[in-house]
This record gives sequence, C-alpha cells and structure tokens, in this order.
Amino acid sequence: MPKTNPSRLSDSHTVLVLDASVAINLLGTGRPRDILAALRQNVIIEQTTMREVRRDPYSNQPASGIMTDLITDNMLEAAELSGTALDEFVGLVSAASPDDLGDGEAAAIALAEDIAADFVTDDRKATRIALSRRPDRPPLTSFDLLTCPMIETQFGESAIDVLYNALTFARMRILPELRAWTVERLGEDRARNCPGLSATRRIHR
Amino acid sequence: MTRALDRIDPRVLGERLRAARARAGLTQVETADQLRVARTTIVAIEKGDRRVRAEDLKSLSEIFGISVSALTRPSAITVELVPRFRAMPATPDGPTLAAAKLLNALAAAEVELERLLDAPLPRNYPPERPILSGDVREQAEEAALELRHRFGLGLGAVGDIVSFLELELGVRVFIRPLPSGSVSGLYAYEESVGACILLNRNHPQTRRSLTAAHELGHFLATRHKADVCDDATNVTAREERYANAFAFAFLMPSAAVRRRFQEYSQGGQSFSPRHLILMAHAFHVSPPAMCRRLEDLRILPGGTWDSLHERGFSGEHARSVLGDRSAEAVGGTPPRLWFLASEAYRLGLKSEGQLADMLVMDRLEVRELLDAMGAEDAEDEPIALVR
Repeated sequence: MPKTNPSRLSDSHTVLVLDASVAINLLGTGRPRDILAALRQNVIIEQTTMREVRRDPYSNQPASGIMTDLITDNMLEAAELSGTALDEFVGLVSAASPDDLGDGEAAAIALAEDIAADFVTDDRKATRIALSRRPDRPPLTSFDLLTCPMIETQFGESAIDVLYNALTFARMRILPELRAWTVERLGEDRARNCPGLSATRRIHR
Repeated sequence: MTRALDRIDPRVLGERLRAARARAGLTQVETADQLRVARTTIVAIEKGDRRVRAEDLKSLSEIFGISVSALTRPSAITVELVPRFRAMPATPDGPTLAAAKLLNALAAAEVELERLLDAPLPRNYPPERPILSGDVREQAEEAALELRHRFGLGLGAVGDIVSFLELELGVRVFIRPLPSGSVSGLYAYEESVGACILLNRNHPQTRRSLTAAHELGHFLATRHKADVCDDATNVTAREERYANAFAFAFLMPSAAVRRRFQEYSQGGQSFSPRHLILMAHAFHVSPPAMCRRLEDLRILPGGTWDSLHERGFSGEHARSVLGDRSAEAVGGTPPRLWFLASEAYRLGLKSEGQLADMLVMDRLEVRELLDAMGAEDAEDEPIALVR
C-alpha cells in the first residue's frame, strides 16, 4: 500500500466553499454527514450552487432533503452572495468564452474569494479560472477531502470504501496524476468499476 | 472599477430578458409584480433603456427559470421556438409546453456549441412542398417517393431515420425522455437554428421512427409551422392526415410493401401474424403500423389489426418470433449533440456545470455522457491519418 498521502488538505485550509461537483461526490459516498463531521474545516455552499445539486447519487433520491438536513444540523453552512461578490459572480458568468462559467461554479468562486476561503471543485475549467484569479490559492478537489488524514483516521480501513462509493455512484473524477495511487489502493478489480479511472480503458501502444 | 453589468450591452441583455419572459409565459405586469417593481421598469430594462441591477438580474433569472449565465454570456444563442407552440390553435398543455421549452434549450445549446467549435450543421433542405387541394394521401405518397429518390434511398428500409434527418437533411433531432407519455414528438422551425425535432425517449424506437417520419412530413409541407404529435392531435385535420400518410409512405413504400408481402405470403396464399411481425421488423416499424399500412394499401382487409388485437396479439409475440432482434438498439440518443458537448468539455470550452445547464441534464447524466464519449481522456492518443 502506498505510504504517501496525496491529499493537499491541511490545517492551513480553514474554510472550504464547495462547488456542486464536490457536493455531489460527497453525497455519492453515502456518508456525507460522517465526512463533514471528520473534517476540521468549515464547509460552505452557496445557494445558487446548492440548487445544482439535484439528485443524491447514492440513494437516487432528490438531494434537497439531505442537503437541508446537513445545513440544519450545522454540518454544512449555506450562504448567499451579495454586494461586490454578486458583481464578481456576474463577471464570471458573463465573461467571453472560454473564461465564462456556469452559475453554480461562479457563485462558489465569488464567495470563496469574498470570504478568503478555499474553493473546492473537480471541474477542470473551473479550476483553471479560479487558479488564474488566485494563483496562491489553488483549488482543492473531492479527492483532497476524501483522502485526507482526518478521513483516514476517522474511517480507518473503510476510508477507501468511501472513495470507491464516490467513484462509482457519483462517477467522481480523479486527476490523471492520482489515478495510479487510486488504482493501487482500490485494486484492479474495483478500479475497473470506476468510470473516472479512464486510464484503465486506454488503448496502449 | 467598472461593474460587470456595465460591460454588458443593455439592449442585448434586455432582449434576452424579454425572450426569457416570453418562454416563461409571463407578462410584463406579472414579472413586475414578482420583482416588486413598476411595470415601466421592466419595459425600460427590456428595451435596454435602463441597466438592470445584479440583484434584480439574479431574481429575474429565478423567476424565468433560466441561469444568469444563459442571460449574460456572449456566446449564448437566443432561440424563440416556444412562442410558436403557444400560438397554435389548440392551447398546448403543461407537458407540451415543457417539451417545447426543452426543444428550445437543446436547439440553442447545439447552435452555441457548433459556433464555439466551428462545426456548423450543413443544411440540405429539399424545397417545401405545400399541400394542394385534392387527395392528401396521394400527395403524401408522391412526396415520400420523391424524397426517397432525391436521396437515393430506393425502396429499401430506412433503418435509422434520425441519422438520415441529421446527416442528409441537416435537421436537428433530439431524443429525450418526456414526462408525458402522450407526447410523441415536437417540430419547429426558426431561421437561426433551422428545423428541429424532439422525440420522446420513453417510446419504443419503432414509434419514435414513425414520429420522426411524421414530423418530416410537416417539415416538407408546412415548414414554418410548429407541430405537436401527441394523443390529442386532431388526426382529421388536413395537415395531420398528410403527415401521417407521409410517415407511412416514407417508411413503408407501397412497392416495397407489396414485394415483401408477395415473398412472405408466397404469392398471397397464406399470411400469418408471424409474417406480419417479420415484415414489420424488415421495415423497422411496429406490427400495428405495418398492419395498418397493409390495410391502407388494401392488401389486408380493413380492421385486421383490431381483430388481431382482440385475439390477444401483443409484444410478446414479436419477442417470441424475433428473439434478441426485437430488443431496442442500444444508445437510441443521436450522438451529435453529445459529441459537440464532449468536445467542448474536452477542449476546456465548457464546464460540467455549463453543460448541465445548456443540455437541461442532471450533473450525473452529464458525467455519464462524458464518460460514454471518453471526454475525460484529455490525453487521448490520436490515430495516424492518411495525408
């Protein structure tokens, strides 16, 4: 088993703002409450972003119920853009292609910048744009959250099962440079069930 | 510092807001009430005489059920197919209007993606053929034969009418599950997007093919009029009789039907339900459609299908005769829009969230689409081409 933990999540990250792509992956684990409880960071989702989380991939039910419960139980905080952040949001959605974003992604980035928080996304375009605006605050990913030491400590051996659920139920994406690590942790058989580990489908020369 | 909204042309934004309000079926008064402003404010915003505030823009996007991105991004396309459905003589019901809005969104998405990728859909439209006075069935039969001849189809079965529409004619076709089982399909035309058809994914492929052929009939004869193909359609209306006759004639040309019947019935000696199933399969239509065509051509007596149905003929019979061949083809959704979406994603032109919005899909459905198209393979190794 690989010894190095590749998660970039650390104590320097205190407040996280989630993109819809990450929220969906958390739901896909089947244990979003336990994951949020294990993380030491404050985790926030903007209202516009939250509206894009429509279905819970684990239960295949509407996501509104579970999201509301998480917020009511203070596991997740809901926020709404206003003022200059709203203007930044409009700037992000109305930019000329290819620098424009969808509402949820733009709202999350605008909020994260407004409150000096860290943006969490799995989308390549959103990552590129967020990084171009704040090169010193590279966005985190679902992988960073689900493989961090806090999760490993809390879940023990079943930490990899949590990741596996997100990969299968939610079709979570994995950066190319992290695929080998993930496949080694999961094993080849389980890796084949994960659409996001597309390296296993490549045609090799 | 210039605010983002100050950089957007208020006339363009105003026009988009007006079009969004029209799609939502709201008046200026209703919109003003919901936004808690005077009607004159809405009028001024839509004319571009007044800049909308960011807070109001966000509220309007929620009122109209459209993203702020769709209202403001420069690449967004404004398509106005929905008013054509609202203007139909029979007021469309909720599910039909929802389908019209979906068709509108998909047409706009496809055109926007085409422009971003510089991959326009070539149009190869045959001339419009208005319905003249006289027998509509005869005119439909002639039009169907002429279209087959024009595109070199001969008398052979049209196994994939969707690809024919897209690739040969340049008609946009979308297949999506529609909540209402009674809506088979929609057709509309607007110059900016051309002819567009939406088919119900919840229907079997044979029914979808017939619906597509029906809408093709409308495309030929009443090009600029929107059409809804559903259980409530007035089948006695002249245009509907034409479209229905056209669909049957196009998918089951009379000469080909007679020849097949001759084969299967051994010169008219014996014809069984099993033969009917085999003929239907040969023409890629359902057994009831095949039977109805045989009745229309007076090869079988009128009422044959009703009689078979009363005797308990069902889909099980088709399966028992055809085995696995009766199963619907995998992946009935035409790939063109999927291909455009996946290329835009792969090239970093569109994000997952943007695609979900444009394609009116759940994020998980978008991920499934992208996985199916291999869009995550940013390092896709190319195959050497012949130069």
